[in-house]
Amino acid sequence: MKNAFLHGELEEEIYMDLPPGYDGQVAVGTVCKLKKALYGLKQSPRAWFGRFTKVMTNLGYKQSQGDHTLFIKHSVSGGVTILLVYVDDIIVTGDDKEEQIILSQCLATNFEIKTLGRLKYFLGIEVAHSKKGIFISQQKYITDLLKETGKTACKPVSTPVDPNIKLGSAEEDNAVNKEMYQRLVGRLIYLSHTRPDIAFAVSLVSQFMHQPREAHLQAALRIVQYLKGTPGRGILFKRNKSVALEAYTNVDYAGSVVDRRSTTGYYTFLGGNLVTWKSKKQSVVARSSAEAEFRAMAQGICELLWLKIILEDLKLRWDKPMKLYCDNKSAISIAHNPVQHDRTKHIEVDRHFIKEKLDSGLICTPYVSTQSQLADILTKGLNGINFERIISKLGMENTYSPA
Amino acid sequence: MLPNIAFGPEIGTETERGIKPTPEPAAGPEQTPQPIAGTEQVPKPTAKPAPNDGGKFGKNLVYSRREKAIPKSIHVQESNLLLQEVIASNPINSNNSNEFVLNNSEAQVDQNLDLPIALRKGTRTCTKQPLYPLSNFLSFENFSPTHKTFLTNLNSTPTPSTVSEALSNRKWKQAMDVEIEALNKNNTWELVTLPIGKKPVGCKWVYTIKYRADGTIERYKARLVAKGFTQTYGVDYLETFAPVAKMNTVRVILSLAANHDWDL
Repeated sequence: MKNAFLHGELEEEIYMDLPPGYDGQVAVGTVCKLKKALYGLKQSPRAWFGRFTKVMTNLGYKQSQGDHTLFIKHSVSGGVTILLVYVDDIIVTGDDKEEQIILSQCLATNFEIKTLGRLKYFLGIEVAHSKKGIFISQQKYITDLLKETGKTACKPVSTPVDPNIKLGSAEEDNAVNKEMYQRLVGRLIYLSHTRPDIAFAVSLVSQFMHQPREAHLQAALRIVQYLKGTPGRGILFKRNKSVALEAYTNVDYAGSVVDRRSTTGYYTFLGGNLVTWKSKKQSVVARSSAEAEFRAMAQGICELLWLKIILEDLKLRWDKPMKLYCDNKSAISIAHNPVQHDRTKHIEVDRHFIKEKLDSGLICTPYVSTQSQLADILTKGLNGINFERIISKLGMENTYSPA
Repeated sequence: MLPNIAFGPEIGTETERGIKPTPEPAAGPEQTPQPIAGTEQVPKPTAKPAPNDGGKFGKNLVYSRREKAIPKSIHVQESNLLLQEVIASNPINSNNSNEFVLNNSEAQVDQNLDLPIALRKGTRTCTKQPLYPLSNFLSFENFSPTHKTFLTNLNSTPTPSTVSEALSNRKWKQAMDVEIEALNKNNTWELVTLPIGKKPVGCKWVYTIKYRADGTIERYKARLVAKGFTQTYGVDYLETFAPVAKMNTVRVILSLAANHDWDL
């Protein structure tokens, strides 16, 4: 995409000085009244996106409600074309070859777009295609990170979190350079787009962004050390020919030593492939493990519903209930129990939300034993053996491994 | 990035001891004759006024605050003459190195503010030579040939910072013409007289050089940018939010593409 922002149309009236070096040719007092956006203006990105949306709607594309940057067109022949836009990078996919050719021509005439061929590199994420499926990783990003932190030659460790250390605010420790710490954690956060294995560790260190201490820096550097051992690990999207939706939720009850809040963790699988995950400290203190689990279930259901909206936009039907795996029996029974429970008065909204979805048959909540609970990795630091066992089940692979 | 850069501390120690700077490895063999040449030149008149002591090297006077350091550092400069001949093949041009040394001496002033200042009556001729040429501390020898080309290009082709500077160069003028043409073709603006009560937004040129993979210059690029920071909310703009794709959506699409054998 060339000069993307120059295509946006402005709604507001903006006057600009004449460009320096060209102001001698006209009378004094003349200014430029801008009709199109210019780099540097505050509204340029918005103007560009507005213009792009207009062109796409004229071409018969529908904007998805699940994500506004997703444009979908169903052609008469039953094919589908999907277009995803990230500022000036665009991904096009689908099973309608003709429509794709027409689309790329239309975009070329409207916006001077270059087609780069098959998707290989998108926002720093490497995409590899094979017979087994599609593999994404951020190997280059990790190598750069190792170089920048000076950890290229460090000894690798097997897990991102030390299972024996509970990270608190560590106020007795020395303060470390805040900018440096925030930069490092920021890079790790970006890295967790393809690395669910470090999601929990990153969420842990990012809780201390405002006042980092020596202990926190050590924890962050341990993640880097872990990455050293497995730089090529990424997610493999396999060819399973299904659109089954599943989620695993788990909590670590009162896991935070600072304020005793619990940590939510969930994974969602689409057609057997891991697509979304989250590891986040809950915003309120839970009074029982069942209550904490309940909140996590509600969050997991929200994510499943969002995925369902996207699938419905793509006209991919999945009529069976979505499975929400949970390892807390009492939470499951409270969800099913129609009687108002005395101890769950204060989480009524979540309870009604889950109950409603259960009753409508949208979801079901099978019990899963703690041993086969995959979301464990998102709520606590595990030891090496358990960690590797779960990683292999998540569909994470290391294509760059030398073996 | 450049492993050989180590200005600050090294300079500091050298001035204190008043010895010659550590020459870079390439200049090793020439090391031996220097002290001899230096001792011969020590009695050379210290305060011989220079005919044109340009303001450019005036900053080197800073070293005169240390009385001890001056007479001894003379031979450093003399020997640098030798050194520079040896390292003439080094890709840094002397202008650049001079500028760097100036910057360094400024940094030196800050560190030594507490020292007594010895006033100097005149300027020596030898101060024309930089005390510590950059080539003693910076070398591109460790880089691959393509990166070396890039680095020399980076150092030797300056980007203009003002319009008049850019207009005086044919290449930059051309780049600006191209950008103006693109803007005109795009129908970006129309010329009007400024209505009363309206304030125009400023604009400026940003110049960049685009490099190819082998380090050679691909093109000169000029871009006209508006000074968006002078805009006021409610007057010049209202809404600025623009959505970007969520990483989750990207993964969902990739997963579906894998499952349905879609082209990407």
